[in-house]
Amino acid sequence: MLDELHELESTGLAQLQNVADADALERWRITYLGTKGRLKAIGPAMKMVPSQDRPAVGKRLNEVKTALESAFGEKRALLAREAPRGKGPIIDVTEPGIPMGLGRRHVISKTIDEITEVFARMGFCVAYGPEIEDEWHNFEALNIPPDHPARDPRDNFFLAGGLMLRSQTSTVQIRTMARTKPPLKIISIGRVYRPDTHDATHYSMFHQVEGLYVDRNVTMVDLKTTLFQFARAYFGPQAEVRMRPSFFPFTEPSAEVDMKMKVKGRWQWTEMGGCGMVDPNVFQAVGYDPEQWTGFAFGWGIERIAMRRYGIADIRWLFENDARFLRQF
Amino acid sequence: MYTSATWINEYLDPPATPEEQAELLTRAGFPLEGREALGGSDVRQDFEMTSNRGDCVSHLGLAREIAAISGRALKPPQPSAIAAGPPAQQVVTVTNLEGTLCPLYTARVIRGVRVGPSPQWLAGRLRAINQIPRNNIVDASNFVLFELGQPTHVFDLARLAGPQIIVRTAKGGERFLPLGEGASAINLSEEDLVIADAKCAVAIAGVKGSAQTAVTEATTDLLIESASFDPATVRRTSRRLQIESDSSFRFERGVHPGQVRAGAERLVELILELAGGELAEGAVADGPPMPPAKHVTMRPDRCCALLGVAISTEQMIRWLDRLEFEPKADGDVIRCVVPIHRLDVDREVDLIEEVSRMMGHDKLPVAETIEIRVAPLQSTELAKRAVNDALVGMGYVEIVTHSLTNEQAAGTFLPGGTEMLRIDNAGDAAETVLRPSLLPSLLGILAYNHDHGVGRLKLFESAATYMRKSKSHQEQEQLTLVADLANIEDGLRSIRGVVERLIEMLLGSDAITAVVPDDTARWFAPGAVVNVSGQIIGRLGVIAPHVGRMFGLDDPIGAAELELPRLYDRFPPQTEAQAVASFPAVQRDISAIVDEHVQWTDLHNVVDSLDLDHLDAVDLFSSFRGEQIGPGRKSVTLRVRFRAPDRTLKHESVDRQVEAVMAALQAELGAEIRRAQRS
Repeated sequence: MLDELHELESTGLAQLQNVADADALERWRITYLGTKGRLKAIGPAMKMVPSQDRPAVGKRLNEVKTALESAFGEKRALLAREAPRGKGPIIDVTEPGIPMGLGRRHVISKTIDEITEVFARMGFCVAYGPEIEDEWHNFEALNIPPDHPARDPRDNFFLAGGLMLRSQTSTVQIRTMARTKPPLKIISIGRVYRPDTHDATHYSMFHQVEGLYVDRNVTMVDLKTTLFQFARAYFGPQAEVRMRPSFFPFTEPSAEVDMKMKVKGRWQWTEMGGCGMVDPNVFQAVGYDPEQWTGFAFGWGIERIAMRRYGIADIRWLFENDARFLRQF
Repeated sequence: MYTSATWINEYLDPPATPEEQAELLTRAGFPLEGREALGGSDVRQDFEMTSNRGDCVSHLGLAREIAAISGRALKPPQPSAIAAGPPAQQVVTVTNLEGTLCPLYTARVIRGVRVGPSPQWLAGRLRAINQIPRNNIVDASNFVLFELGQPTHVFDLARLAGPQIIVRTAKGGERFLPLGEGASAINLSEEDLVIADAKCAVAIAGVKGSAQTAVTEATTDLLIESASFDPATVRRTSRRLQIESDSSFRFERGVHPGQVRAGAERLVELILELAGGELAEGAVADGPPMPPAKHVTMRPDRCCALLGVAISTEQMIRWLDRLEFEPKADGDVIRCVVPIHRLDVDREVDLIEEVSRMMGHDKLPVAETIEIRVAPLQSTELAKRAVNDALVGMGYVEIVTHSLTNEQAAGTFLPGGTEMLRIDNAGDAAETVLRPSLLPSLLGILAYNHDHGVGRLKLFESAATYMRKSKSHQEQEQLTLVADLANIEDGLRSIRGVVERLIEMLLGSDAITAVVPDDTARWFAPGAVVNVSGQIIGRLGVIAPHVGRMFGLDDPIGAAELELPRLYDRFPPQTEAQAVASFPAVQRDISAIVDEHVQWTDLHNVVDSLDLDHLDAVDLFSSFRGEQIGPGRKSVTLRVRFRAPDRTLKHESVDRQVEAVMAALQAELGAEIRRAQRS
């Protein structure tokens, strides 16, 4: 019996050596390991083995079975590695992809989200306010008295009942300060309205981003640093910031901000907008003590930034909303 | 403001090149807007002016800034005119009835001048700044305006109705013919300040002189006006009459009465030099007492604290001194006297700004790091982004359109019980109504894209809508979507699918969205309201054909108008993880033919009310209308799914439930059951 087992093992392994393809391997498996194969055929013969020999023979039978099975496994793996690659289904891989119909954010929203993100990293929260405003929030509280030229009806959209469409997002500063105790650090982004004849650079509605930081000991150096950090984070490590004195009713000192950004492959100065230290009159209008609190504010147009960054030659393209234009971004 | 570099240098020692002037004035707050080479060595430079610095709208004013910033010496003109005639008050009288609107009026008289062309130097100065020379008298007045920033006006004394000047407000409806080619007579109002003779207005104060008293070639005797007028009055009149002059531009920015006499002195000196004549002795003036000098103190500590840099008190004093503030250290403060030309300086912070200007903002250092309080995540921001990103993922293109629309579009989409909000001062503009819905904009853009060959679009916009409701205005943020529908039934389901997904994302998977048929919005046919936990948060539907046609859209458009932002502050929903089902489900498809008025909701409710064992879900598999079924009826296939939590169900084990469903559909909805099969 042991001899038979030995013969089964050696012939089986020897024949496996000669197996060269998957079909032959399958025939070999049926012959040796199949349900009607040679290994299974040994079973009935075991009954003939004297009982004292059975443990030894049984042990040997298991060894042979393991040897054949593991040799089979190795051979199958070997053949799989060496087998020629099948052709697979007939497909022209050069056919175009099926469009997956992804939509797009508008380039203005995309720019707003990016700017919000950078300022959020610097600890600014987003604040909102209404677009329909009263003159107090849009002008008086911002230190723009009744006779100021900015209040000219030709430069504003007035509604009945002392209301108007806000001409600047600074109104949100006032609303936020009026209901929040300092310190606070906010940006507000939204639509603003000023009558204008629409042309390549003018539109009677546009978007502004406005920042406000009020705390004890906020300085003009903090303002410049914040703008500088924004420029580096948003426009890249070579970005720079420069400030020029200017005048706004709601800040003092006031400045214009230019940032050096990459435009058509070259680093160029671009006028961003205004900034400055919050005017004490503004603090007084919202009930903050200007001796205790100082703050800075800045604001600029979103469209201008998007137009410079992406080389958009005409502001009207932004509001025409041709899907072919919008899908570029 | 146009400047001549050579002219500015008349007042500077040493002179500055045009480039230096541009750089220094930019540092001072007046950026260069344009530059043009003139004949000879002169250069015309255009500087942007800020509305608070009227004192810089002149060559001397800009030279003063350059001198202060660069440390150059300032050389203002020192006019001296010799009077050979009788005292002026024997020749003319001045009555100023409006001391508030006209803090000082002065009149001087020169008789016997020869009006003629200006000499080369004067004509050249004016041409250099884009002014057209007229004659020696008018040019001299113009020159003084651009040299000193003092507007003056010269009347032909002989053409005044009597040698008498009255400063008064206009009479309502008073007629006035301004000087200038092509000018026509205008009506004045009682708000206007005028200079009048014994009979009528001869000038609109600070804005324009009259045609009949203007200097002509025949003029020999002059009345020379130099005055100060209220800025707001000049601005209002100038705006209302739409007459803007270099004089009104200057007066709108404020002219201190203290500079009036120096301007007059300079002008009479020039006229005597250019046109000869005999100057009457002295000026005839009328006005309230001169306002007192302004005293302002600044705490150097406060200055350093606000700017964030250390500057010595001595340095601050040096800078303020160069700006003519006469600074004196006094204990912890610096006391200043504001020079009369600086109408913009009243407070400590104004002086701090002067210090920062003199220092230069380029001297403000920037830090490599900043200290922050970490701001919390904001629900509204997270929700907004999640919604926008989801819509983009679902193929929607975002658009941004104007908030104003036209009357017709607004009227079409105005919700019942509300009124339009209109722009009051829109003139003849077409788009004068604040849109009560984003739909007119979205449909317009959809049509625009169709016209440009872009079809099969899905668009959305997120913006405010506005209306008046019970006397108060409402501004409500909305998210609105529109989509070209390939097939009306499936297409509306796809819109509803978007809406449900967004609501689920915002409120969690157990938020129940009900879509209830509703025909109150006339622009939908059919339409429905979207109900979330009992609260209506919007509507969806197919744009009614007559509305689509208004925009040139003939094919069906699906749309949803949602007040989703109301749900943003609850984001993100609380999620508690659930184990997923581990045993397979058994499904049956049941086709039922029902009357058209039977809604999916009815079918669903019938199945739900049976409270069946192991019922897992009831879905709409398909619905079908056609000849085989007959008019007014439809075939709806429900897919009913059963699942046990602890074992694999056998198909036979749900037979009883399926029978119950079929019986209930027949009994309660009169359904004709076509078949029930395993799927």
